[in-house]
Amino acid sequence: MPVFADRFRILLLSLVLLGACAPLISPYSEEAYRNATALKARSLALIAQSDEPYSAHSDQADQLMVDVDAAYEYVKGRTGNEVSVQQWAVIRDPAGGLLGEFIPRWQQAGKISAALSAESAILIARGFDTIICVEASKRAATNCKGQ
Amino acid sequence: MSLSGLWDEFAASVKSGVAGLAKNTVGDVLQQANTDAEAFLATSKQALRRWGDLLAEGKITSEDFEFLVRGQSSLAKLLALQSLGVTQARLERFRTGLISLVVSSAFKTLGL
Repeated sequence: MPVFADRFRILLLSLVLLGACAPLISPYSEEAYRNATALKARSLALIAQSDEPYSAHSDQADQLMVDVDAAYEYVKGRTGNEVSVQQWAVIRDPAGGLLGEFIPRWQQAGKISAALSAESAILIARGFDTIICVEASKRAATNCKGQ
Repeated sequence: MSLSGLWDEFAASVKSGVAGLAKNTVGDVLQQANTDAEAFLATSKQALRRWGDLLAEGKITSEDFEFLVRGQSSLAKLLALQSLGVTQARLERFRTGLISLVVSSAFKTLGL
């Protein structure tokens, strides 16, 4: 009996410790998921118009980047969310060849060529997909095909 | 049943449960990471070839080409972060599943 009791005590203690550990990753957030999917769609819609003068879309572009900043701040405010924070930082990076560099480049150039616009859209879409994949995998096992 | 028999029953229940839990939560992590890396390399090669053609045809400038390469490099970082995040999420499911498994096995063994 003492052997069983001792083993059980150790087991219970281990369980308490295991349960007390901080989660390895923040729980799923519907808002974070919605932000990423909506901003992906808005970004691609705007990039598709980047062969037109930036001045005609500057308000949309400004609002998009404000909303991207807000999405970044939202994930940053959640504990255990370092991966998502780093992902948003890469998307926003003004020298990263993705959205954070595309918009200023468009602003500077006035217009973006159709070829560059199409290729950038592929990269930026895939970038957003990685954020969406991580958030979705917090909810359930996800096979992120097409990455 | 003796107490040591109870322990054996409990331990066997946990062990068999852990095998299934591990298979369902973290079983193919490494394989998935390798598959993702290979897929990324293949698409990167195709993209670089396509951008080279666009550059040669004058449809993009050399600055555009460099911009796209920076984007591809950033995408590599994002995919590495994705693998890390997905693995963390799977390990978290394993951790919570393990706690549930041990508790339910203990209750079952003790007839509670």
